This record gives sequence, C-alpha cells and structure tokens, in this order.
Amino acid sequence: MRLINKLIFTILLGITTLFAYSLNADSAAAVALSGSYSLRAAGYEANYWNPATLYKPINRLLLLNTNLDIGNNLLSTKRYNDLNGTFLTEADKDRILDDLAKSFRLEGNVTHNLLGFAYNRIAISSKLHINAQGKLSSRYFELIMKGNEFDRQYSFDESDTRLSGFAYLDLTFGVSPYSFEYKGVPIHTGLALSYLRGLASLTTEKYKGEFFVSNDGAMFDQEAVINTSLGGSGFKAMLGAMSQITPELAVGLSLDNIPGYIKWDNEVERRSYFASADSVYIADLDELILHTDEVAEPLESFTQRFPLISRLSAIYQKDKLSLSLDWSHAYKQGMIGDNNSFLALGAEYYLTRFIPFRCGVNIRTRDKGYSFSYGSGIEAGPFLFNYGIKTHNSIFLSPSSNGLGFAVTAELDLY
Amino acid sequence: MRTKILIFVVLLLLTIILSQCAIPKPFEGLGWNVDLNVPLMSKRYDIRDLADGENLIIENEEFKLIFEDELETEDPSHFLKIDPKSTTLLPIPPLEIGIEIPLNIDETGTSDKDIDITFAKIREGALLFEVTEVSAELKSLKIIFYDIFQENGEPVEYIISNFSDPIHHFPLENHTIGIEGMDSIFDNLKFKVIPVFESTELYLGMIRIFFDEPLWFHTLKGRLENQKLSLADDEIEFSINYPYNLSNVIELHTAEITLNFTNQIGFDAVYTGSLTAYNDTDGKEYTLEITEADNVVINRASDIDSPSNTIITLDKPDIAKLINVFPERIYLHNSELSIGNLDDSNGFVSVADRGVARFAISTPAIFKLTNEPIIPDTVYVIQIDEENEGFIDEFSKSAVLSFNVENTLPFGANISFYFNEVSDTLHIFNPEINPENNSIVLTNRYIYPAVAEDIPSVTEVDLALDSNDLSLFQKENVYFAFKVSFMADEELVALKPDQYIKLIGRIKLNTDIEF
Repeated sequence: MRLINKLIFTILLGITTLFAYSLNADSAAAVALSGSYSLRAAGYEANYWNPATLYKPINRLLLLNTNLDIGNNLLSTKRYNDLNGTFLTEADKDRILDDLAKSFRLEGNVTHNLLGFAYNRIAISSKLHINAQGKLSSRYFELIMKGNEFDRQYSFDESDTRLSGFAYLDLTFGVSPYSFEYKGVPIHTGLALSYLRGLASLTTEKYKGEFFVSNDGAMFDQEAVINTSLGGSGFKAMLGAMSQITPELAVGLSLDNIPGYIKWDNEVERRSYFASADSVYIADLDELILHTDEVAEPLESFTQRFPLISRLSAIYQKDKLSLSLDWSHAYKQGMIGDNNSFLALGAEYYLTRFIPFRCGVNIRTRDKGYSFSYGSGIEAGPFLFNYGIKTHNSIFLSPSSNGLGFAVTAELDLY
Repeated sequence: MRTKILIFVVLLLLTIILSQCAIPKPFEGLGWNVDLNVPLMSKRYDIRDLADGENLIIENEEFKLIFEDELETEDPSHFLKIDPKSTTLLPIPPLEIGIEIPLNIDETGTSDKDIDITFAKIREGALLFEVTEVSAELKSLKIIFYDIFQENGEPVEYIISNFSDPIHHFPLENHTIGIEGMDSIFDNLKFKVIPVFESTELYLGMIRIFFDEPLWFHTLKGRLENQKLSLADDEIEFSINYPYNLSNVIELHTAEITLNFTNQIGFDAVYTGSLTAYNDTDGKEYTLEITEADNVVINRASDIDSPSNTIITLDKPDIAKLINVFPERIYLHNSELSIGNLDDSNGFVSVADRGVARFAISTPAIFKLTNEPIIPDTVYVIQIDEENEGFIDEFSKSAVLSFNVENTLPFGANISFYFNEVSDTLHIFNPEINPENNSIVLTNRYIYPAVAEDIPSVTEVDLALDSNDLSLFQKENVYFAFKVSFMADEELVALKPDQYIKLIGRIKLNTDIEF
C-alpha cells in the first residue's frame, strides 16, 4: 500500500479511537458525573434535565459551555496497535464481531451553549447541537472477514446501516411554576419549552441491502433513500417533578420530548440510489446487467421526531459527599438524537468548600457499553470553572478506551 | 485563594497523568484468511435446444433426427419416341380410288420396353415417301394421312407430282398421331395413296412409306411398359457436429424413410435406388438398397395439370443401420423410376413432365447406449483478467470447485473434466504429452439418472484444488473440455424435448486478504 494511503488510514483510525463514544453529554459537571445529573442540574441547566429543580434559588449566568465527543464502538488505540501489522486469527475475528454487536458505529457530538441564564425559578437558555453518526452493519464485517456462506441471505436495513447528521439550535424557556406539599413532603414541578431551529439535516430514510449467493448465482440489491434539508423548525417540551423527601434525599422524574420534533421544510430533497444485479456468475460477467439509478426529487418537508425519554433520578447528599442515580429510558429507537437508555451513578465530593471532585459510571442498556467519567472544578468568587472527562470501556482514559468525552464550563453566579 | 488554585491544578495534573494518552502506531498492514463462495457458472442444456429445425426436429413433443433431400427425375424425352421399322415397296395400282398403306409403329416385341400410342404430339421426325419405278403415265400421287393430323386437328394430305427425286420428305413437327380423347391404340399409321394417271397399266410405280429416324414426341398418351427414368445422383451434407465417437455410443432403435413423390407423369412408377451414409469422423459408411421388392410404387398424375402426390413410408431394419452411422453426408445414387401402366387404363407423359422425390429419413430419439466415451468437440474457455490473476497468485491458497448437476435424462453418465492452459483437445485430453502445461483432470464423476420422468437427480461433484492447481488459473485463458461415458444397459431410452441437464458451478476460494 502506498505510503500516503497508510498515512490517511492511520489518521482516520487515530481520530476514531482517540475520541470518546459518549452520551449526549452536557455541561462539564454532567460529563464528569456520567449523566447522573437530573437532580444536580441547577439554574439554566435545569432546562435540559429536570425543570423542577428551578425551584432552587440559584441565579447563574453562563459564560462558556462546550462539549465535544467523537467515537466508535470497535477500535481502541490498544486494539488498533495490537492488530496493526498482524494476521487476524479466527479468535480475533470472533472478538471483533462480538464487540461490534449489530453494527459498527461512528458518532460525533458537539454541543455549545450560546446563552444560559437563570433567575428566580425561571431560566432561559440556548444551545447549538451538532450530531453526526454513521452505522455499518456488522454483517458487512462478517462478509469481509469470514467470507460468505452459500445459500445464506445477507440482509441490511436502516436500523444497522445508516448515515445521519443534523444541526439545530434550541431556545428554551424553563420554569418551576408550582410547589406543593403532599403528606408533608414538598413536591416541586417544572416545565421547559423549546423552540428548535433546524440548521441542516441529512437522514437515511431507507436503506435496504441484500446479498445472496446460491445456485442461482450471486444477487445483490442496494437501495438507499437519503433526505437532506437546510432548514426547519420544531418544538419540544419537558415536564418535571422532584421532591426533597428528607434533607439528605431527593427524588425526581422528568418526561422529555412530549412532543419533540423538527419539521424540515427548507431546501428539502430526497435522493434515492439503487443498484442491483442478479444471476451473476464469473463465467458470464460479460453478460452482467447492472441496474443503477439515482433519483433526486424535491420534497415539501419531512419531520424528525425525538423519542420520548423518561428520567427517574435520586440523590443523597450528606455533608461534602453526594451520591446520585439516574435511570434514563428512551421509548423508541432509530430516531433523531441519542436514543440510548442508561443507568448512571454519580458521586461528588468537595475536597474543600470550593473544589469538588466528581466521578461517575454510565451503563448503556442497548449496546451494553459502559463509560467512566471524572472531573473537577473550582469556584473562585462568583466564577465557576468545571471540566469533565469521560472514557469508554476503561476506568481511566487509556489505550484500551474506545474514546473520550470532554467538556468545559464557565459560569458566573449572580449573587 | 492560592490553596484553591493549587488543589485544582493538582487534580488537573492527576487527571492528565491518569489519562495515559496513547498514539496509534503508523499503519503497518492487516491480513486475514477468508473463504469466499463465488458462483462460477450456471448452464442449462435443454434437449429442446438441440433442435435445429433442419436435421433435429421436435414433432409431437418427440425428438427426431431427420435427414431430407430432394431429387428430380431426368427429362423423359429419351423414351418418348418410336423407332423406325422395316418397310417394303408396294406397287401403286391404277385405281382411282387408291390404296391404303399401313405403317407399323407397334413396339411390341422389339425390346422389353413397349409403347402403345393413343395420341402423340410429334416433337421431331419426318415421314419419307419413296416413289420409284414411276410410270410416265403417273401424273401425281395424293396421299391422305388417316391417323396423322395437323396441330389444329385438320387432316393432312400430301401430293407428290415431281418424281425426279424418289424420296419425298414430309416433316411431322407439331403434327399429332390421333386426336385427343381417342382411346384406340395405334399399331399402324394408315395412309391412302390415290394416283392421278392417264392409262391403265398394271402398275404405275412402287411406293414405300417409312421413317428412318425415330419419331420424337412432345406428348404421348397411351400405354408404356418398363420405361426407365433416372433421378440425378445427389449428395447431401448435414450441419450436425456430432461429438466424436457418437456412432459407437448410441444405437438408435428404429428409423424410417418417408418418400414424398410428386409426379407430373400420367403413368405409374416404381422407385429403386441406393442411399449411402458416411460418417467421415468415425470412418463409417453404410449403403441401403431400395429394390423393387420394397414395392415403392408411385401413383400417376390424374391429369396434365394435377400432379399426383404419393407418400410412402419404409421402415425396414436396414434403415436404422443407415442412420446409426450418424451420417455427416448421404449419397443418393442409382435412383430410377420404372414407368409404366399397372392397370389397363391409358396414361400420358410429355417432355416437360417431371417427378420430384423428397426423402426424409427420420428416427425417433429412442436408443440403446454403449459404454464407449462420447467426446464433445467443444472447448470452453474461462478468461481471467490480470487483476484476478494477480489475486490468485498472491493470495489464494486453495479452492474447491463444486459442480451441481441436475439431470432429467433417464440414464446416468460418468463425466471427466479436463482443464488445461492450452486449447487444443489433443493436449487437453492427454496432459501427459506435455507435463509442463498446467492441467487439472477430474475423472469419472458419476452423474445419476433422473429419479423419475419429471424428477431430476441432483449430483454434486467436488474438485479440491491446491495451490499448485490454482497456478493454472493465473493464466489469461483456462480451457476445459469433458468426456462422457454413459452407463450402458439393454434398456431403450428416449430423449424428450423437456429433458435437460443443468450444470451449476461454484468456487469456494480460500484466500488471504492483505492490506
């Protein structure tokens, strides 16, 4: 292989293995606590976790909040280095296919808060979301590494092979309008409404792939329908409730995306790609009839929906230590955004009054992946600075890690 | 404040230290071994497709070998004649009423061929009147033709008044003997000679009526006996490419000759002739004689404008022997018609009349098989492009060639496959001639007969190839051919149009993939 190809391949592998496969992480503290953050989110952050927490008198102004993560579900630096230059054994192949599960996934997320302000049970925030993800069915890898079986049909669809990406802005208004007591226990409620401004979208509406080798020859049939748009608008709403059962223990519930959608209606186009051939034999390649077609058609609009997500959360706080648990469940897969369900545990300990140490673990139920995270921060007067790092499949960021999530946040307390 | 910053920095450093940043090594390559199942070919050989519409046809859903030719009779003019007969001079008496003189034209007894005329149109010939020893008192002779008429049916009279030359010539072209519609046979042509004279002498001279050359007819009606009419020899070549040795492999059970004869001649005919079949490839020939004993009788035309059509089928065993040569050409020779009357009715013939014989030798594809190998002369080629040559050379370790044979034929067969880098069959079938040629031989793989009439057998034939064998497939062209030996028994088997053999090939290629 030419040197330049090797170089490109190395760089691409490096990028995919250096960065994390992460949750839809938010602020630095949320990253550091692996998403166990519903009852910790305070101020404008409550707009994205549980608006009921806006009842707390935290008046805060966002200065900076940026989160970045890119990753894949297959290659860590260590695995890449271990496999690099080797001849794969059957055990190597089996391990790779086991780790891939249903598909090879490559995903990138960037979120950047443009605005964040909370004052007296009301919060206004705005955030830029950029997400790109690609999936390639593990059966493609199986075909490449193990070859094809005779009389076996290999089928692929958009659930395991797809390409999607989108960017949108939200402008969110959150409020904790009402608190009451039930049997002596205070219960706080919250509501967050978001206007979503779609910037760009590329979605795989349909992907169908079939490959079959039998006595009737080789057959393949590929169809991909991709929708693109350069603008749209949408809406989402979140309801939340929480209760401080005891001074140490609080529980909460939020329902996100009721509803949640973006209707893309600007420069919308549907592109369909077809390729098929059947009864292909080596001896008759000169008679091969390959059907290919590409059709572009304007669309009036298409709508992407966010899955309904419920978050159950609890936090126990005693002196400098707090422990929290979040169970987040997405009710439908294959939709826009992060559709994973997860269980997150987070712990925060204040080494001094102003310096917290945070760590967390997140276990994803769909792909059995897990991640560890940690982070810290400093409160210097009214200024708060936090950072968080998350690593996948490794306690610390190491060559065994599949990637990295990183976030920094700077805020100003308005006291 | 300094303490805060110090603790924060310590935590940050601790994070970085715990984060063992690792840099991917430059890509050094990756490889693995994989089994690829690749479809090679799928060919269905339908028996129906063997039909070429010429020598191999399908008739009533039965498969037939058929050889056809058409022969035409020669011009019958050679026997449309009567030959001169001997005549004598007769005295011319001085009678005003004249005398009648007959001219014998009866062919009876002159040869084994007989012609009896009821009507004839003369194409060529002349009557001669010899008048000698003429008295000076004879002024002229008036000769009335009783049986010869002008073309328009008018009677003919001939007057001779100049006796200086004893021979008088009367051309008969386009004259007729008799009048159409008369059935009486002319054994003699009668003439009346009436003299014009001035005295009463005892005789006025001597006269003879005769013809010294045959009278050739354009048309003749009457009776014929044993007139021979040849058909032109002909050799027909067939476009069938029989596999080598086919004639030793297949013994066709029955065959028949169908003779379709269109006859413009108004006489019956009996056909005789010879057919010799040649298979030059196998060095075989056989001659079939069709004799009078075969009684190939061709009907006469009913009238001049209505030729007859006679279809005769011969199915004697010798015809199967002829066809079992699997002829590449058939020579039809010594063909002849014996023309004549088979009953008392009169016939007709003219010089333009012809007989056309169409031969069709057909055999239903019902046969016995022998153990002899059959060798199709087709050499197949697999073209391998440079990219695949390199792929096989560099990465392929082994392969299994699998052929799945679906057979609806009612007999089994042993098939041997021969692969070689050269295309001529001598080297393909005899790789030991030049061992330096890459070759693969797969011998005697048994293909099962059909399970039942509509249920094919399926036989799998595998050929394992090691890396040495695979080197053959690094050639630009790989040639292969095969031999077939059928499993002989005494049972008759039949080829039917719906039968087929389907050959499906695939390769399981074990190969290393390397980047």
